[in-house]
Amino acid sequence: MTLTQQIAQFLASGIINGTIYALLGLGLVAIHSATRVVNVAQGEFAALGALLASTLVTRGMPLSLAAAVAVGVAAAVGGGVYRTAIRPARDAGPLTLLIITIALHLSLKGLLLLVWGTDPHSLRPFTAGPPLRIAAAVVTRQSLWVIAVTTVVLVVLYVFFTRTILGKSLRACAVNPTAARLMGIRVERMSALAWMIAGALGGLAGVLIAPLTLATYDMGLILGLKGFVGAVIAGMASYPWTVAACILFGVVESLGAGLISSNYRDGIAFGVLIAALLWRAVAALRGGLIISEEAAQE
Amino acid sequence: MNAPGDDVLLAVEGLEAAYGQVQAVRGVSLSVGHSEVVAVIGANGAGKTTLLRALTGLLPSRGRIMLGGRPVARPSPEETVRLGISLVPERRQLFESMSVRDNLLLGAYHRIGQESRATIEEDLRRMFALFPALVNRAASPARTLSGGMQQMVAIGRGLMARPRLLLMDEPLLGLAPLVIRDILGTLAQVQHQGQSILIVEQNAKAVLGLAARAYVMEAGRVVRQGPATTLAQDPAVRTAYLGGHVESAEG
Amino acid sequence: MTTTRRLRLAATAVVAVLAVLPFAVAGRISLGIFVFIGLFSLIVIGLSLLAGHAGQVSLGQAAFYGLGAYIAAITTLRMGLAPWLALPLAVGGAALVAYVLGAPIFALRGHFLVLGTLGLNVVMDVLVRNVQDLTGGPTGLTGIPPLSIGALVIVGDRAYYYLIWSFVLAALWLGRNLVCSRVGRALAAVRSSEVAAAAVGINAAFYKSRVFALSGALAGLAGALYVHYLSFVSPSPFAFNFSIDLLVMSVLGGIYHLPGAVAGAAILTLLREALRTIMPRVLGSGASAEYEIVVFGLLLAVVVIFSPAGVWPHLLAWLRLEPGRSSRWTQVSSLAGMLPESPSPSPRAEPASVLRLEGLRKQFGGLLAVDDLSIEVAAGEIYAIIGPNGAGKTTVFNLISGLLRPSRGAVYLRGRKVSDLPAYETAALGVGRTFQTPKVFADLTVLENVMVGLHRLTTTSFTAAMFGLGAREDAQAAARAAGYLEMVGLLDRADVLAGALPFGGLRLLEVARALAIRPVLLLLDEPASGLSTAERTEVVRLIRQIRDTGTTVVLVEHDVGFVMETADRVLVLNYGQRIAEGAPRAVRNDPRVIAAYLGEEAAS
Repeated sequence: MTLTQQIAQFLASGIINGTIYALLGLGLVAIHSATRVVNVAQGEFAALGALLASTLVTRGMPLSLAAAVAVGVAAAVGGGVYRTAIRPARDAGPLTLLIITIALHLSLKGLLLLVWGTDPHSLRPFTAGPPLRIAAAVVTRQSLWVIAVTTVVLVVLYVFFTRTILGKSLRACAVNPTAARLMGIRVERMSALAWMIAGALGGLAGVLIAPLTLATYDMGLILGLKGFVGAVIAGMASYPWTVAACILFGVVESLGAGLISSNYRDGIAFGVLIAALLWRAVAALRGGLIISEEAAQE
Repeated sequence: MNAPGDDVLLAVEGLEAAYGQVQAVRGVSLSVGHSEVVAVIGANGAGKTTLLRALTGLLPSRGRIMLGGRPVARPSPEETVRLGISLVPERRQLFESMSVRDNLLLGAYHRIGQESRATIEEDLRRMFALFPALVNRAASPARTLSGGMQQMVAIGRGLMARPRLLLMDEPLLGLAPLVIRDILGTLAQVQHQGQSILIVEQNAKAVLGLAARAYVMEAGRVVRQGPATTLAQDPAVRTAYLGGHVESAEG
Repeated sequence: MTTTRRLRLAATAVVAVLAVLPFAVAGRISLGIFVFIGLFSLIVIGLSLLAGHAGQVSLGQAAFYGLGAYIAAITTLRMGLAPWLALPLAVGGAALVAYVLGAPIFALRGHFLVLGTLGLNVVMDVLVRNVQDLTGGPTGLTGIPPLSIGALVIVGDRAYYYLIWSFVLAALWLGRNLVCSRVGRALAAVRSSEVAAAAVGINAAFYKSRVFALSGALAGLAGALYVHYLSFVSPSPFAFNFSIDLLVMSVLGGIYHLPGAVAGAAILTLLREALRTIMPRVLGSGASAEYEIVVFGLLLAVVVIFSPAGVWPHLLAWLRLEPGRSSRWTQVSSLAGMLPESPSPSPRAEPASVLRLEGLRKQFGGLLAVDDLSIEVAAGEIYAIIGPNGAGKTTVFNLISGLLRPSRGAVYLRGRKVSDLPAYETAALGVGRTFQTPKVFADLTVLENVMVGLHRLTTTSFTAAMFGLGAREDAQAAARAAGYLEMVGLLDRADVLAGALPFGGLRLLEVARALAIRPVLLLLDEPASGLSTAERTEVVRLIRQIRDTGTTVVLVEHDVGFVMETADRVLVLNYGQRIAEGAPRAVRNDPRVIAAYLGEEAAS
């Protein structure tokens, strides 16, 4: 392969991976804007989706139904987690909340282990057939499914947040919870909804990626971590920027792994992350502000 | 002033509320009649904002609150708006990153499902007719508007809830005199259409021109009450703001 | 028996148990488990200091553990360095990486440190697995020489047990010294309110990064001891899963108490061992080690929901060993009256104006909060800023004290420009302030709150504090702090936790704390609001007394009557602009001021 072809290939795989990270990153942003929690257990929704879909298909369920069920169950688990673990700890500090999600991560991972064991599970690609050639790169059909489904999901999310009352009221809760309550919006129901959306997005990511990489009980953490990277770089607030940052991260990771060495894949990705954090920190240090502008407006 | 049994919309008796560790409202009684504008004036720190926050359930309180003759158990803010009391909060509290239109629409949130989409759209059109300056900015994020226009959005949002009683917390805060005049004009219009309003304001002169009756608060108590025109001439009002002592209304 | 004596007895008992443990368990339980508990305790002590005292979560301690391990392994095995030299090298290397990484990241908020440390784990893991010539890759390195000092070679479970636990006890001692020192108080302050800490000159990032370096050092030490103990190193123990385990140990034991770190490490390790023997019997043989994840997750969830401060406080309560807070400083408060310390800055030739605002302007998006404000406050004045709600008064304060940057214009303190300095520098130059809603350090006593105010006037360094070298300076600081408490009338409540004071007391405490920095300029934000008539009179007297000692006072108030009684000159603001300035009586009768407060006549 020529260098151009190689780079095209890395770009393609980077975009595809980045898309998966973006689904997880979006879930993280949804949860953070609604409940101010960093959800360390986000990746477990993906693992759940992947494993459940795999088992259902093995048991004979049609793929599309299995996928829908897996995503639905992940959404339900998200809502359930909010009601049992997050809502009671509403007033606790961010440290406590973070530790609760770490506990959730461990518990969910453990439950997945109990049910599915340590063996990898496979899921057949959505459509069979040889890989396709697009521009200079070779992409599997499943990869195209990843892009296509995610694009549809992003459009649906966009319409949801900007055109529907439910989406608008969810945004309102994130922007100003007190004012939202004064409108009659039940903020806690909205928070549960945010967690369900995050669960669904995570579960979908798992279902999409399982045919490409096998599904295991412990696949969650590293996936969630990479989604977290993109979300944090984008400031934990904006959905479009999170998608962009995650895809960028995927591309950097892929180019680094491809051009330098695939063994260093994760190391390069996180090395870039640390560099980005330090760069951001140096910029903030020059500003030297301690309190937010809004808080000072009284 | 108000004989018991009068047909009043809101009657408050002996309200007490604390803000943090400070007892900010120490036994306040007031009433608002149908289609009436009533003002509560006083210097900052007098407890006016705490009063409104207690009425909407944002703060715990003691005392009696009666709406339309029926006692109201301490509702949460979400329930208050469903009971027919809508608050235009201090410093507006808009959804700043969302558009003007969305802000207004969300004001009608509790009506969705009970009333048709068409009715709510009709109300939106009425709001834009009431505040023509907002028409060109309907799609702009609320935070890009000037202070005066943001206040219009806040008032519109409050009215979109079709409340029996509209509470307003210092709506004229930080606004230029011309803008104040515009807003007062709009509020007079709204009152003519039958809306009851309880307006808490520091800017006494402006609001006494609009209200029928007023209460003067100082240090958590009502120290003067009466028709707005009478209070506008009362030197005690000036003392309440700029120092010195005023005997309480009971004394 | 007093609690202190019981505590000492309990501590002695624990040390005795530790000393005889190897003999007690010989043959029954492997001593190696207790060696590992010791190693983990070292790391978790550092993590508890970071999480409980500096309020920062790190999910990267395993990386520092690994870093220390590999530095020790590589230098002794590949470079032939003497093991007792490799040890400080490992500690120093880990501390340095932690400092370089942490110092800038603490300028950012919350989750950035979590992310950065997780990333560090991954980077380290990848490097170690791939730079195989150096690190031996996934299979690791064997044959690492044991620790030796001269002819004395340290081999075997028992020797390392005593060595490692000696380090643990030393770490507990260092940590305790740090927590009880001026640095510990600064950390507690930052935890309560970074803004209030900055207002007395404390640079939060400075201390957080040092605590982070210390936590890295302890983890690095554990790593180096580990490789000499096992003579073997490989990447697997240092994966980020272990960082999560360490956090679980920390939370379980209790992040606010250092001995809790040992308890947490012990509980988790012993539990893991128990599960390893029980699980195969219950579930059949197989990958039983991984099922412990479920148990740990649930355990962590239960602890964090029902007992967020961990196990240690319950243990103390059960043994009736809770230490009281009062013992440390009571004898010192009696010294207060004896010291002739006055809170004024030393008089010297200085420009007549203490504070000058020049064309000050602050814009928040579309809102102009302060508009072209220029004023000059003379030394020794009591200057009041009044104005209707929303006029921009507190914004002006925030601009002066450095919590906000002006959009245009500048602030000068005694002729020196301060508007481009961070808030903690402005405070160190002599600007003290109180806040509209009091921000006291709730976990510290009233006396300790004021001692935090003395922070920039005391000098015990981070390192010196660890070794307990600040005791004498602390005692002097306590005496001076008592003097300020006496001035505001809070001396009788010196040993009460600040969070328990009534509202009026909180206001007075803030004043005492602000006075402790020996301010040239004192900013009082609504000193009279929320106070009873009697309390107000007291505040007026206090303000006059402060002015008489040489401090210039600028106050913001809504209560115009109060201002009339107290101020020499009054500035009236509206819409962020000056509309009147002068003597109180004149200002009060100025028609523009009356119009500003009571409103314009609505145009007909």
